Amino acid sequence: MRKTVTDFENLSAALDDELPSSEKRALLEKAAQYDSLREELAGLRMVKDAVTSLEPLPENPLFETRLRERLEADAAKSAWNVAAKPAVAFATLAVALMITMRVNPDFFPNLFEEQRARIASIYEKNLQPILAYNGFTNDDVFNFAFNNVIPLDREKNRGLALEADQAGFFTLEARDVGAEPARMDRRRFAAAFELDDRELSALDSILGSYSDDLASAILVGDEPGAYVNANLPATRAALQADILCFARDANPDAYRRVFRDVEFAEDPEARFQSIIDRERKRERDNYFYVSDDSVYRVSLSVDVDSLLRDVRANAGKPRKNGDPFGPQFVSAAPPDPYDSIFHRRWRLFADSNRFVARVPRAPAPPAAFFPVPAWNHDRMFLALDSAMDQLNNVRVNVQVLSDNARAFHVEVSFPDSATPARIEYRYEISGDFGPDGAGFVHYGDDTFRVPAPPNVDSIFAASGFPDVDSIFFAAPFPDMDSIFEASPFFSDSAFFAPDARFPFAGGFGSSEELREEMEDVRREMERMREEIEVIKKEIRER
Amino acid sequence: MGPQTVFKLADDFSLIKDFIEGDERAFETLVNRHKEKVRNLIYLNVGDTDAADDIAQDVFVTVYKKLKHFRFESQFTTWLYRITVNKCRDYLRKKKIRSIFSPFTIEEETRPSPERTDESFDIRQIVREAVANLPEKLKTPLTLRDFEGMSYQEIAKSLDLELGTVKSRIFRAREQLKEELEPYKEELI
Repeated sequence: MRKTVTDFENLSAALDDELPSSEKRALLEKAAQYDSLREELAGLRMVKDAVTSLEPLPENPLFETRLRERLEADAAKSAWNVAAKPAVAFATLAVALMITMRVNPDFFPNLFEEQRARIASIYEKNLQPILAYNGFTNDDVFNFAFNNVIPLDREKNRGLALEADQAGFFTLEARDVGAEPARMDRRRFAAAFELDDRELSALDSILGSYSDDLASAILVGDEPGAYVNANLPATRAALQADILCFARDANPDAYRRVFRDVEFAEDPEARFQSIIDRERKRERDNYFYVSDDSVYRVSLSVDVDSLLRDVRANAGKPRKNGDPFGPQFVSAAPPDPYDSIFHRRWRLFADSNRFVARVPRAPAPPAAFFPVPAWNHDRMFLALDSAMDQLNNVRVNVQVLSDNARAFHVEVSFPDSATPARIEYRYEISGDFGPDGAGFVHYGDDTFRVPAPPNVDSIFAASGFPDVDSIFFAAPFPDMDSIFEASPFFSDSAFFAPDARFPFAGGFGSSEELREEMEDVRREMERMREEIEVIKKEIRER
Repeated sequence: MGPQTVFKLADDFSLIKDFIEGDERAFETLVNRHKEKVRNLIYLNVGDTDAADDIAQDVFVTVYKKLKHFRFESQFTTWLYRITVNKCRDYLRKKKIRSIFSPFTIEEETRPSPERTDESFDIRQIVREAVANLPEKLKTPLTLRDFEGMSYQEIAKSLDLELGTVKSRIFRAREQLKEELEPYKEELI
């Protein structure tokens, strides 16, 4: 008789008396036959007993008294609201507004500005760079260039992911990133470009030159919020361009190989250089403030040298909240037509596991600063990402060996950006397992080539698992016969796919997340293909 | 044998009706009846005694303000725990942001560790911390089940989840706890 993940889940439900009695009886009989089920039941029972036997908090005798005081205070505060006649209050307010607007049309914008300046002065107390304490390694800087993640807290594996999209938004996401596999790292890059020690040292020197910029890019003070430099995406573009210029000089052959499918409208090196030059000329005092309930843009002049000097002088000393480093900041809040206070185009999302802020990107500086139009900048991002994907040969590789020796392999790969929409699944099958029910087209004895299925679960259904979740849940049970034991892609209880960029790597995942991720990948590849088509068209028109 | 007098406590619905009709004491009875469950549920979710009292106060202030709109379509506890869970989420959300953007606040995480051999070794505290460290989406259904004794159906209603999801999350929570508490197996048995 086959033991399934559902059995384990049902054991848990049986302990809670949430199964029909006949089902519960059958399950317990089954558990009596199998060691693995019996052990699972004992483990679940142990946990349930441990939680239910927790002692409650000691009673708080003042709870009701304090609650009553709070309710009375609330009632007193709102008493005048109740007394006010809504109609009269509304009419008075309307008249007051009309008079104010006629006499002083700038009243409300000024009020916003005054309030913001006042708030800013609170939030700017004791600002210090969040990142400098950790110290940037060259690996971190490289990761920022190609994986968009800056470490925030190494011990807790927290990082800040930064994305700038084509819709003109800048997304800042603080989340756990510890187990997230790097899409491209410094070591693999060095191997791909066959860098020797001298060249690697030169690459490190380039990376090192950006670490101060990144260190001063995110500032935090006494209040729970952060100032984030709005130029971070541009800094990243310059860093990428710098790295690739270097790679081109270090190994032209490898460089050509990497860019074999990417055609540029003009000399890529010149364009890279222009991005680097432009970044170096940019204004650096454009920050936005992000907290749990608001976002606004502010001009914040940072004396970076002084700031970093202080940080270094204090390095190694105990970190203490409110430890002032000196007055390195001068803030101003000039009227800004793009300000999110007026446009309300920002979005915030936060729960106990992640925090995401989506804000409009900094308005473009005057055209004189741009040797390359802004849209080319975005396109360059895509081209570079594409190139990195070529190096990395994006691939999701899942191998499953079931308990009756049927082999089941799934490979999703994007080996060639010219055909990004095609996803290939390859199954190696022995015994009586066949593609029936999954609707796959069969080419040859051991290979199926199919377009991406609409429902990822259908793949797993063919292997006898109800959905993708079952695989994640099955992984932690090494005693479940031979399931997954032969797979290098499952490590302990974690789903681990080294070449995948799945958010649930290292933790629980769900079929929904996988589907969304697959859809994101598909969209990303589609966008890239469209961009490349546009570039090709431009070349043809010229 | 004479007729038996059965003393029956007023149920939650009767108390709510009394409160709506102006009887403030009915609210006090409701608070008295449910406050400890609420405080403990919060404590298990946020892992902080002081915060548990503050959040519990917030919960009952909200209940006081909204009780007149209670629709008697579900149990009072279902509604009460839903408010409690939402308040816990708000608190954890703000705490998360503080922890992300306040690197200068030293906050020692006391996760269970097999090396812990000091005199203050307390298996209950370790279990409590292990529960507090669960991801929110697993922790809440588990605590509603194992600490509040709610049925899967009630939990599903409180958290606006499918029944199957509740079952799956409770199982996953237990699996995770099993792994965390593995080093303390002997003390737990």
